[in-house]
Amino acid sequence: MTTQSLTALLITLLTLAMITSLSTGAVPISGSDIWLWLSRGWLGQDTQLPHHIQIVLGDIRLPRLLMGALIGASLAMAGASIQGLFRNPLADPGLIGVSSGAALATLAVIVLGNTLLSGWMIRFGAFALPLAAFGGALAVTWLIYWIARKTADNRVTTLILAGVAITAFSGAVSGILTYLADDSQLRSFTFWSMGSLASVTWRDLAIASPWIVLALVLFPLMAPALNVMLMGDSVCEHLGIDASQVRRRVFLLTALAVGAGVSVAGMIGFIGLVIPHLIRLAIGPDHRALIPLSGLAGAALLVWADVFARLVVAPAELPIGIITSLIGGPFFLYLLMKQQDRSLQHD
Amino acid sequence: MIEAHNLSLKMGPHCLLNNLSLTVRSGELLAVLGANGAGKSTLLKVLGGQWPASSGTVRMNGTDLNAYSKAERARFRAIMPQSTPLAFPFLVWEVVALGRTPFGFRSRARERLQALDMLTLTETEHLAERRFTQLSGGEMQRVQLARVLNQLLSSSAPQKTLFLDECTASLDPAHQHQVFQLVRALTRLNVAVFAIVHDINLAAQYADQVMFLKAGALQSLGATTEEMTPEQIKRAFSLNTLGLAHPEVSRPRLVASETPVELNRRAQSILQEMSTAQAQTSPSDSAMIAAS
Repeated sequence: MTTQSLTALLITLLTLAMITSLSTGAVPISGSDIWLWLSRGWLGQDTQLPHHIQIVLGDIRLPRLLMGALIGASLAMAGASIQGLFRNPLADPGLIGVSSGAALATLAVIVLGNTLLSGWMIRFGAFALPLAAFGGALAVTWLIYWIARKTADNRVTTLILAGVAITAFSGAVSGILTYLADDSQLRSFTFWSMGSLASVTWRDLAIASPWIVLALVLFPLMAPALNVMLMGDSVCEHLGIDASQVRRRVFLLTALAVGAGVSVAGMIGFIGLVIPHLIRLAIGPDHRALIPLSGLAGAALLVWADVFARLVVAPAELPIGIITSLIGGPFFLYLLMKQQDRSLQHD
Repeated sequence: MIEAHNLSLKMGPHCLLNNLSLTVRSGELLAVLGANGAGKSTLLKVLGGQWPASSGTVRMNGTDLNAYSKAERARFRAIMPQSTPLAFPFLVWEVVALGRTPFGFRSRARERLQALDMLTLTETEHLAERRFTQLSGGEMQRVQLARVLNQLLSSSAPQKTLFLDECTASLDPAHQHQVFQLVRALTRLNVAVFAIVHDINLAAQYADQVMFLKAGALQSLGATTEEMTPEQIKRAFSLNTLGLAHPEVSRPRLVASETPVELNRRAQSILQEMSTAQAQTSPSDSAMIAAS
């Protein structure tokens, strides 16, 4: 498939997903009403639409849609960049500790919010949880990077091993917190860890989107360096690119984008792994096309998944992380078996 | 042009390079020879700016190497490593196009055209649309050489330098010569070439100067016709050779003597034991063959 036709396909899929997402839910809204509202209503002009429809579109579905698209795009772009950085098509943003750090901090706030961390809760109120998740994601990622730097050579293997060790350790601390938690705390953490866009508000969007948008703009700029990184650190040097600097930047961008997303929507699995993989199968591994197209595909997939999350058990909702893993897992296995030698280590 | 003066590299108690000086002028091909672990690749890394020397200076085109940024160096010198790991399924021409990275990018069509020219130079243009990961080891090496040439020849610098680290290691004999003929053509374009070579006769046939390294120190450096002798080979590799003259050109030729390498006593005794053991079992083997 050519890059142009794939781009056209993905833009179509994303647009369809967005329209469906605005019209589907407990209150069905017709296409013409959406068009009326999109073309005039949100600018404050009178549209003659019923008040509840304006509320549903403007305060519930639109922020949710935008957040979903941004998170999907950032997870997929981060996945593509991390896979390039680690020279491994099976790498995932979680590898650098973003998710485990966010999970640990979230659990700490949920379990210790009334006791040890009550000061934090009082100071930040409704922001306490997303801020903690964001901070935890950044802190654990930074720790892994710092440890890898302290060792003899700041190479991929050291980074991965440091990541494994730190992730295991923060998993153990999370385990202790889980042990201390009561039933309702456990329940809210479980739902957070499955990911959801259900309660996204404009305020959440305001917290998370600056970081995510920044990363979405900067990730594609890393593409030429990431292409060269695939041939190893020495070739990088030969071609005049500072491998450590590239690593530092990709780490930072991933921690910012994924950390911000996780902090408002919880853990949404598989997009960072599956989407870049799929796009690479279609158009090859050149990051100059791979990163932007992964972003488009990630946005489309997450918005579609959010639509299904609302439809499957309506009027209730499934956590979106369950949908992505439910679709992503089997699909990925199918790809692995079908394309075993084309897509992985040896083509 | 490369000028190195009194280069040393120490790592802990080990002296990897010991007081080396050399000059490779534009249009000149220097072949570096030495036993495994003699410091050839280390010297290449120091001259290429990848590892800093403990003492001594490297000047490229008359300016201290450290005065250039990494990006600047990449615009007048290219390095062909021994092997290049690449596990992602790029098309062959896309790999070659990556050589243009230091010079920014152009349209895909123009990058492809330039890559095809480079592939033609290394006789790999028929592989252009194949996946790099499907190639044989020798084909990969020639494609990587095309990538390195793409970097070197994209440069508009008046003085360019090419480093080769055993770039013919997995090539068949015809392609080994093809690559060195190509490198000779580059020297006529005023490129300075620093090549680590394991094949004595390739070095003898193509190099202007040869440098023998032994345990990180200089054993000898000089014109190929004077320094490529059985005595130097004996000192560098403990290899017994006989010197001949090339029938067509005034170039040295070396052939291995009847017993080129003295096997150590322990290896000899192990081989002796094995042949004695085989002599004892073989009569019954031949009896079985006769019976069948």
